[in-house]
Formats: sequence, C-alpha cells, structure tokens
Amino acid sequence: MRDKNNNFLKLEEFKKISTELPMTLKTFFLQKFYQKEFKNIKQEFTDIFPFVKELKIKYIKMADEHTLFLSIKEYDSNDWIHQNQISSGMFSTFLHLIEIHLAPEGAVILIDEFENSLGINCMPSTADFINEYSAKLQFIVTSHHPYIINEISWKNWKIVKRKGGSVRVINSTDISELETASTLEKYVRLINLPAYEEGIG
Amino acid sequence: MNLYFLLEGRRTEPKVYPKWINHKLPNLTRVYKIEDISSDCFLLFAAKGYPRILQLIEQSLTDIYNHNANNNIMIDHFFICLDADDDGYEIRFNTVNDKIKSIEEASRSISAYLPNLHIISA
Repeated sequence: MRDKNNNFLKLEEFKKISTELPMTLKTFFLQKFYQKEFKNIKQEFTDIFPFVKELKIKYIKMADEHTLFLSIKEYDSNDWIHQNQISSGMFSTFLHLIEIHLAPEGAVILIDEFENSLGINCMPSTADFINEYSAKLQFIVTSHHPYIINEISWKNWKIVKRKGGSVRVINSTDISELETASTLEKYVRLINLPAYEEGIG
Repeated sequence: MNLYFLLEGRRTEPKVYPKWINHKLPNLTRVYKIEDISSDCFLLFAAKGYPRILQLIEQSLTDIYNHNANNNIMIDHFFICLDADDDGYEIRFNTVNDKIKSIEEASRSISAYLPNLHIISA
C-alpha cells in the first residue's frame, strides 16, 4: 500500500483507490495494512452478531487457485465458517459495513432493496449506519420495508410512481398529508395516501 | 360529528370502508391528516396487518387526545376494526380492550379526552 514515491498510503488515499476493488480484496488490504480501521469494523460487526468471536479474510486454495474468503468463527465452535456458508444477512451486513467505512468522503452509495436478507437482529444497526454516515456520504436507497422507511427521515424520501413505462419521482415534502404533527408512524401515513389506494408500482 | 377509523386490512378494507362510510353518512368528508379535521369529517388509516394494528392504537389515541385537548371540534368516535382470525372474536376483542386499558392506565390524562371507542372484530 505505497504510492509511486514508496510512501505508505494514508487510509483516505486507500479509500479512493479501492472503490472498484472486490469487497474481499479491499478488506484483505484493510486487515493487513490498516489494522485499526479493520478492528473497528470487526467490533461493529460483532456488536451486531455477538456470537461471532473472530472474523478475517482468509486465503484459501481452491483447485489451482488461491481465493480470498470472508471467514468467521463463532464462540461455540472452533471451525471457521467461510463466505459461502455464512448467512446472507450476515454477509450483507458485512458488505454494507465495508462499503460504508471505505467510501471516500462525498461518495454516492446506491443500495437497491436495502432490507434484502437482513433480519430483525441486523436491520436496526445497518439502518443506523446510513443515518450516521449521511453527513459524509450520499445514500440512494430503495426499500419497501416499514422499519427502514420509518428510520430514514421522511423529508429525505422520494416516492417513485410507475404507470406502465412512465416513472415519476415525487419529493415527500411536496405531499401535504405528510406534513403533520401526528404521532402516527410516517410509514403508515405514507401507505394511506390517496396515491396508494391502487398501489404504487 | 368526526370519526377516526383504524383498520387492520391490507387491501379490501381501505377500499370498502370509505365507500361504505360515504354511502351511510354522505355528509362526512374524508381527510388525510388530523389537522384537517373540521366538522363532519372522517380519518381512516389501514395498519395493514395484525398485530401491527395493536402498535398503532396508542399512536392513534395520542393523536386523538392531542386533537381533542386543543380543539373545540372534537373527534367523537374511534373505531378499531380487525379480523377475529383463528383467535376468535372474544380473544381479539379482549386483546384490544386490554391494550386500551393499559394505555389509559399509563396516561390517566388521556381518558379525559377520549372519544367513544368501538372495537369491531369479526
């Protein structure tokens, strides 16, 4: 992790050059050269999944090739659980953590169907990351999930309507029914709008 | 007269209830937020599922309390409409009734401004 003058790359520089690297490779570099940041991510991951005691990128020989794998170890077992055996919710959570932590400041992160694979144990924390990092990064997230929608400030919502091939995007702040002091959760208010009576594609 | 409906249903009830209310009480106008209540209005929210509707009872009662405590035009009736499903009428009715009681016990002041409550379970 050195630049052309053989100086060690600072983390912010590494973030910029690693944006297009596969997750396992950028995590491998992080684990090897930026151990403090890797430790932070590992801590955040184990806070969400407290039964995980170890996490690392392992270098595994498969046939004639060496491949990098995300691997975890749980407290009640000494066996490593490799990426292809990890639950999709745990893997998605780790992916979100790495992408958010390693995004250079000002980056735009697109996440389609944010809630996919996330269970109720990891959804609150991953939604918190979005809110926590929203001052430094821009997120464009699609979701149908009540929890996620309620967690994102309603003034940041964009409501996407589709009729046939025609797509319209409406700013939530332009919907007067949402501007209310009501304590009724915003998701409920949203799905009870007149536009939802026939569903929004 | 102003009415507030909280429905369990996902698809049918949110379509049928407004039409049914307009048919039975054509003088009532539907509004979509509580601040728009004047006279002869109704509000209607679909919780889209059970037990989700139970979580929304407290929020609805808080809204009704806040409205009734601060306005001359009151919300007169609060209808909670849900399916009995496999639980049966009695269990569902008691679940909702217990929920309302616990809200009233937690906040005594809420009782002073509560509308007439109707639990409809079938």
